[in-house]
Amino acid sequence: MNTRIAKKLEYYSLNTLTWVIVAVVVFPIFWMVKVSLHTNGEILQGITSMAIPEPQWLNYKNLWETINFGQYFKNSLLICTATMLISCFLAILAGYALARYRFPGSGLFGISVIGTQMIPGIMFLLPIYLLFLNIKDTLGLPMVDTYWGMVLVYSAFYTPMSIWIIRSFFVSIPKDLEESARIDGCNRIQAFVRIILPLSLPGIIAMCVYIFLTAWDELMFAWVLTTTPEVQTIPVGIRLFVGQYTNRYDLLMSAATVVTLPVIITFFLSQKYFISGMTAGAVKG
Amino acid sequence: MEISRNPDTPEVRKPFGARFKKGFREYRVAYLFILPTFLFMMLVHVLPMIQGIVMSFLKLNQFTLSQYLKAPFIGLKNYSELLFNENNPVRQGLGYALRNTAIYSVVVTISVMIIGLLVAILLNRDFPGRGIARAAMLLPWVVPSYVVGVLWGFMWQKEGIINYILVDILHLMSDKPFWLIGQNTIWAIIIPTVWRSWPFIMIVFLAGLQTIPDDLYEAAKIDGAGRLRQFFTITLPMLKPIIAVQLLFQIINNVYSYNIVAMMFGNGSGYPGKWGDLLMTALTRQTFGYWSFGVGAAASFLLMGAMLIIVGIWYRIFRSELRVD
Amino acid sequence: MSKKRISLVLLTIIVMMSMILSACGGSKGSSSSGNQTDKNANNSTTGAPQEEVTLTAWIMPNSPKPDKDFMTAMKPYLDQNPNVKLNVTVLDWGSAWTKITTAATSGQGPDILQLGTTWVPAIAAMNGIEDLTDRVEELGGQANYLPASWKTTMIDGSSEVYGVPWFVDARALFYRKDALDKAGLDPATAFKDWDTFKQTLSKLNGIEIEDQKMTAFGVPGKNDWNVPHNIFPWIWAAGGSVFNEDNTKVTFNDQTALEGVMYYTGLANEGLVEKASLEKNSSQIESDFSDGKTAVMVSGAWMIKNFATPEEDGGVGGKTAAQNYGVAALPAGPAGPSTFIGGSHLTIFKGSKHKEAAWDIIKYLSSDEAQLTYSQLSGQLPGKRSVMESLASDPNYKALVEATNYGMSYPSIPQWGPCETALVKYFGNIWDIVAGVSGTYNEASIQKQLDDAANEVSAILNQ
Repeated sequence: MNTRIAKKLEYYSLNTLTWVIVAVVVFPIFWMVKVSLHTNGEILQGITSMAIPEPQWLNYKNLWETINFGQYFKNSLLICTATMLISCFLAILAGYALARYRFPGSGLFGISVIGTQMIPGIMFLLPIYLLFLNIKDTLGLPMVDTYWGMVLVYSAFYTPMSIWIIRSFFVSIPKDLEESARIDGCNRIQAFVRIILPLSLPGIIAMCVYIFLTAWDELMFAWVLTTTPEVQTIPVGIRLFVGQYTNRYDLLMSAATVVTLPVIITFFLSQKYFISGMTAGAVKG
Repeated sequence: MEISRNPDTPEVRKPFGARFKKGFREYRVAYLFILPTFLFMMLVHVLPMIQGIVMSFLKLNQFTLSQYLKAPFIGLKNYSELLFNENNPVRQGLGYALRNTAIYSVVVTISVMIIGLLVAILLNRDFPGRGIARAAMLLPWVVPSYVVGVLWGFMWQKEGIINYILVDILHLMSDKPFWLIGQNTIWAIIIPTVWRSWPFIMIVFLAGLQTIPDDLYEAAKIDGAGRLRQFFTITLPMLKPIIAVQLLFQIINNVYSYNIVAMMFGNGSGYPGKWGDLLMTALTRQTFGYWSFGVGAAASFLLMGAMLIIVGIWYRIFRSELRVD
Repeated sequence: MSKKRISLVLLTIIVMMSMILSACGGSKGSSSSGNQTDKNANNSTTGAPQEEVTLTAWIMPNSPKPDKDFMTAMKPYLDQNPNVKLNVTVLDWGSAWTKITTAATSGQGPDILQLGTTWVPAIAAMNGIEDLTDRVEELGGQANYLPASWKTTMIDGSSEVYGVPWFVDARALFYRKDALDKAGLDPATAFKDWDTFKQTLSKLNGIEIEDQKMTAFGVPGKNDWNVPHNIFPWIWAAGGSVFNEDNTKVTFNDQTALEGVMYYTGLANEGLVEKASLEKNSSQIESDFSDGKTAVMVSGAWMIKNFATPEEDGGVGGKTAAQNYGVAALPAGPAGPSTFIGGSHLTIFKGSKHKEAAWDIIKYLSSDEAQLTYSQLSGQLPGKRSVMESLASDPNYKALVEATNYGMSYPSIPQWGPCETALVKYFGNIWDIVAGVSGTYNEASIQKQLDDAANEVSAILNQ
């Protein structure tokens, strides 16, 4: 009897603890949304009350009008989506090769894929910029301040980690499945498309979410490699709200909310796949 | 010509030759599959990295940058400036940045791993609303880091919400402390980073926990092992491969952390202070601020070397865990 | 696996890649590479270009709606010259330095470039901007501009002119008239010199207006973007200087300079400034003042505009402070009055293919009409003296304009940018000491920071 009470007590206290953690974790996000509904003056004074005196919905209108935020938003969306598609495609190919073949050089390739993560960004910031200028001079193809230039850089940045994620996913799918498909008359490609791809869909979604979020987050290269509002991304544009002669903290916070909410919504829609993808894929590390 | 200096190429090329001799037709697909990635890596990682290394041997400043790789070659001077010339401007303040980065990386990495693991265990039970709790906890990871910097910058203000909760509601302190200046700055950057990073680790751990067969725990129970012992004899060893991998990525991410600090202080242009400056913010500021591109390149190359040593140590410790397939 | 399959896969990859790439390329359009498009631009014409020309301008966020305000100021010109198209990119102060230096060294950049006054020598020395010496006469040259501002269009010690002052950033005291009234102080004498200033602040400290207790003085600390600009006026007023006459030796750590720093930071140490404000930036200090939390602050012309802008538009027009503020020059120190003069110049980028057209636009932006329009839109003080003085019918502007007479600017040397980067660091440390979060505040500890700063700045000068 006693142990049953103890068990029940433990069950409920652990549940409470869980929800307390949820509350603490979500609080800053709630705070961001709340702050975005205040006036600039109120924000600058530091807000400590939970109430919103008068929700400033107008902030959400003004933020698009004060600076051309819509363009930055569009650029970020386009660049990140294109990066996601390309990286995903490359990572599936390479990840599959690494998972299924032990070809000469595969070990080295695997290591250098991880090795790319060890290069500090600042080390090749300037070289990439100058390389891009060089490409324009020699091939006549503009690279700096273009969508494809950004997509190329981002795809190359995020493909290695994606390979790492998706490779372990492919490894976790038994080889027998593929082999039995091949006995049924499929060739390797058909077997890959019909058996492996559907099975690894959660992993692919997880990978895509990962790529998109990381690209959405990138700051330093976007600052240097873009020069016009036609290509600049959100992290470049969002800084225009606050600075030497501008102090629209209200708009900054609404912009931050606008930037975060779509990602949260997409994430919520895909989280079922994402979590099962991580579950199946990340286990092997 | 630069390509031939890349360590990958001979390794991959040799098997290319060998492949034709031995007639490994099978591998052709594999090479084809990694080819695009290989080219991307060459163009965006390897080639610029080699240029970065070359830069570290050149006298590159605002006047010679336009000549780029044809700038005067000065051998190891950039390195000796950085390591031995106490008056070199780029060097100033790097000591603080190094100390802060060390504290920051260690504290963030360890906190993230521990919190991630404990909460994963907490979530690895059945209770109503489990899915919602799990998804809600993942939210911080979705918030862009530049937003994290700005947002927490508000919350840390002396009259801001954090001090309000700590002092006016919980009465944990008698006076409202400063967070954005002075020694507390290090916490002002560590805590938001932990807040943003732990959920991802938690999900990975949770995934790992779900693959541990229940029989193992049953058997341990029969042996009379308590829960703490079960944790140390079953859970932890089973999760070791995951821990190893996540540890590596955490270390890399945290040592190279930039966004949150840059956005929290002066919107990317300020000085985060003696206790807030990290290696990445310091190096970016000093190389571009002082136009010491050569010395900056040397510093980043040294940093990469240090990172390779850390990874080497990591590999020695966890080598046995990494045989996955 | 058959060869056919492999080529099929390869083909798919290529098709997919090209689809993705071309999709991106298509939406990009021709708008980006404005400065390369028109090769017909005739460089020998003077006046407005007759042919189709697309120019790119890089400006800073000078006002809350930077690109719109700029385009509004340009509208009359663009309406008159339909063949001229203007693209504007707004850089932010944080990354602008990086971007402009890379642009200057690579030659890939805009046609018209706004540069902070302290950046002109650096970019000029990199050969990144055009020498405008022969052209500035068209605008009346030196006589039309503030000496402290004009000085920064050149490199100290030479006579080439690289920029045209666009707007001026000058600082003055903003005070609450009602608070002074209540304390029985006369604005005309209250801010006369350092002694009276300190007395005034002591009398104002703790004064209550509309049931709200005020702190005397609002001062931002380390987290501001103006850290050196906030401190140097006090060093100058004490008789100190940044460097010696020929810019070869650092002097901002000598005894007189230290006096200035000690006076200014001492105000905070003596409780005339709330310690909490030392964590804030200028925006927050300005907001404290507008909200009646402080009675005095140092700010610039944009604040006058802010007080005239209703709250719906992001201003502070409705506040009590907006009806009760006055502007006065900074108090005179032992060596007389002083203030900081900064602002921005318009320059022509060296790599520009449309220099004549760019100059025509700069000429337009320097006209009385455009100077006034842009000043009203952005809240910045016009660079042209006559236009600036025309604002003086407003008593608040009058005080600010008068303050510009004893304005000082930093040494106009190419290395100033790096020097300022170093100063931001050490002056930031000083504020941390004042705030009491890093060591004890006394002459020795402040002197040490100044000496360390002097060391680093010397190293930069001698590089």
